[in-house]
Amino acid sequence: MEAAVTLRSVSAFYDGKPALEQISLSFPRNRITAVLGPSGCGKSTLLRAVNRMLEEEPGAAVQGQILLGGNDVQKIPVEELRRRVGLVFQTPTPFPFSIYKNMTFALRYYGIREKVKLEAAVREKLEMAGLYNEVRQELNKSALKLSGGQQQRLCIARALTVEPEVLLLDEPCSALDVKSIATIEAMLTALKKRYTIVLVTHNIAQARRIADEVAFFNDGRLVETGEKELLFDRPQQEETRAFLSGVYG
Amino acid sequence: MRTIGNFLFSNLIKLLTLLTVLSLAFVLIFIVQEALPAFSETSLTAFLFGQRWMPMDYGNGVSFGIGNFIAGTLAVSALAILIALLIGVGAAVFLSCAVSENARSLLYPLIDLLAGIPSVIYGFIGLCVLVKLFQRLGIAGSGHSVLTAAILLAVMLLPFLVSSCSETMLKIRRRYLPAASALGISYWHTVAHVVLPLSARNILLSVILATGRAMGETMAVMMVMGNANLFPTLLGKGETIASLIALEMGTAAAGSTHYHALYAAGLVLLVILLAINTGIALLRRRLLRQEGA
Repeated sequence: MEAAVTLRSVSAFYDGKPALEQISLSFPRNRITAVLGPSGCGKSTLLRAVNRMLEEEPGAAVQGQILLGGNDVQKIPVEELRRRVGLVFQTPTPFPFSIYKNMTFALRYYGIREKVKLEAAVREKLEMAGLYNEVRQELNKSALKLSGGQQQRLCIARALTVEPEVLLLDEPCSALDVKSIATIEAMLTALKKRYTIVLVTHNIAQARRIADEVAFFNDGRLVETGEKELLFDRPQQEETRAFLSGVYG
Repeated sequence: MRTIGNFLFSNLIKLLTLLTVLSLAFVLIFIVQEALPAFSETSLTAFLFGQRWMPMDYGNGVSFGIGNFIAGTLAVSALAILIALLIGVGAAVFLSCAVSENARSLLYPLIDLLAGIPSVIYGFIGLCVLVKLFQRLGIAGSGHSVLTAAILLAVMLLPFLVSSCSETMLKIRRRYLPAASALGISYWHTVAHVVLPLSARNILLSVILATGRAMGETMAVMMVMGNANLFPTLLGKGETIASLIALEMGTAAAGSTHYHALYAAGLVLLVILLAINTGIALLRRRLLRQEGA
């Protein structure tokens, strides 16, 4: 299977302390890979290493090689890299502008000004995020007036506006209600036809519901990785077994 | 025992609140009462819009027109705020978005320090530096001018403006930068198109709050503005209401029309400030409602 993103011996440090140790892993194209593990095991750090936001943080350092479609991310201009790799945060972070402006903000930055194109993109991406029907009448309403689940879907739609290849999601459902979670999971399953999705979660059930591949992390190490069925039904490592059976995490 | 304690404490609080309200009320009543007799000798229109201020009769009769002083107060305040706004917003962007955490923690106390300098010291520096400079450059005669006063006043307004604006900007930057950055949007584009527009509300509020300070500032302005009863022009001398009162109250005979007219001038300043503050309160409420929207 073709890999959209490949990590080769990637380590990350905060102030010299290791947060990720020698991770080698790949995210196959058009699949949902769940990065699973207890809180504080380095899952979010991994995502931020991929789009190079980690190295901009004071005190943080990254080693090893990360490839996007075969190219070293260090050789891709940051702006282009982040256009090609979208990142959605744990808490919804819509800009306090209107829904429409949230959706067109990045497009305008990348030089798209024609109203027709902008409107088409806004509609298409909001539809993909399953939000269009809910907000079509009020695109000029402040994004902050949306519910938490709607805000998160708006953020996913916003990330899609710049046509990324890979969508990284950092615990996108941790602050949401059951109904919003179901909507987002259904949406992600639909989105994998077009995008490669990496979903960081500590929720075993969520990974079981929507992931194709699972990578299990603990304490900054990649414990094991594989297809969902294999990893869940026949975990090779004692640590994985213990986590899946609820001993910790 | 506890009930008695609670009873005493709650009544003490009420008493203290009452004292505050009463003292404010007494100030108002006193000023109004002392101001009113002035209008037996001059009409309200002549007082507000008249340009001749001649409290002593040197043969041409007395007249009490504070039009120039009102204009001087408004002009110097507006100009100072304009200057302070331009520099202050720039400095706030610099502090919140351009420097490292370490530099910020070093620079913030310095700005707070500026706010603690007594106004007479500002006035003295203004006199020795600004007035001298304007004099040397020959752009404002003796160097005393509305512009000189406005620049000095702007410097005095800056600490408040800068610290309040940069704190808002810092909060906004921390909150929204990651989201913009994850979209590949450059840092300064985010500052210009997210941080600045979102701070506009707070900048406006700080500006209006600074207005109160600017209009009431007496000492420093008095020291560099020349204090001549002239209609304010950029490089001409002028005088503010606050200066007028400070300069003449000591020499006005108690109970004279001059004395009452100075109180009336004070009342005018008070009314202007009250009007501006009420305006702020309304605007603020509207802005806050928008924010909630």
